[in-house]
Amino acid sequence: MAIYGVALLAACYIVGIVLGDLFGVAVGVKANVGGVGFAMLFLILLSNHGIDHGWLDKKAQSGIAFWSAMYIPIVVAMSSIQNVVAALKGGPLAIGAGLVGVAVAFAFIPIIARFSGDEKEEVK
Amino acid sequence: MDIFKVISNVFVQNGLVFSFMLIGLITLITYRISALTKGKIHGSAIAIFAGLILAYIGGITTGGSKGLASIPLFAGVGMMGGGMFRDFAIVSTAFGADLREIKKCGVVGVVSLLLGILSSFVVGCVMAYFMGYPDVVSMVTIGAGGLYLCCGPCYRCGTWCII
Repeated sequence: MAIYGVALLAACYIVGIVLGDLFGVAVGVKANVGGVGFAMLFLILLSNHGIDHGWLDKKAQSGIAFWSAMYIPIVVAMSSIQNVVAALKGGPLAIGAGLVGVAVAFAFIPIIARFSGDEKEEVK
Repeated sequence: MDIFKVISNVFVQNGLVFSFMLIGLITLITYRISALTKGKIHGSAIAIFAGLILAYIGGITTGGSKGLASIPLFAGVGMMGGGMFRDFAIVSTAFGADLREIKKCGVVGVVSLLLGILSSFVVGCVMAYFMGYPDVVSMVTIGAGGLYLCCGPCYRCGTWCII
């Protein structure tokens, strides 16, 4: 049943967010610290376990896959509710930070690739 | 006039479902445009850009800060693009990641992940500092924004590519 997959995803989400909130309280930040990351980690571990041990069947997986496919449409919806008018006023900084950030990350690729040695073919 | 009111009431009361229809329509149109460029510009990029244009229109017509959702008729889009659905969908993208493949990436994978996160965060902070936002809160905000929106999607794609 697709709902089993959705429920597993929801359980990972809720537990992850709760942990993130508790972690936030522990480090004295009034925010969720790493909640989505915890949730993703749980989902990776549990879905791998479920597929390997057979308790997460194809239909249950489709419940998770549906939300995965909805990610881009949700991002489109998210982009349409941004405060673009205000963002354009601070434009040069936002665009600059974006471009330089990507450029620096790209610059690291050859350096990291050199360390990876024989793993290169797998990446391709 | 009455008919218009009845219809717009349906849209407002069923905002989330209406937004599924609306976003689907935007996606359809933008992916068609992408096909016209022979796929050189990815459909999702055009769709997100179209979303930003709509957000701009919503912002200037109402003076509100919520983009398209500032217009009452489109408030449902605010729910679909809000924090809950966004995070739920983000978590779901972790599904399909194969642990064995992740382990194969080994130390290099971890190093590249950390370097990517650190570099885009530092770049954002430094840019903020030199472009007129020298206080800590603004620096961290810009840094984290750069990290989330430049680095996040790349890693997600990167992970998919490796798998």
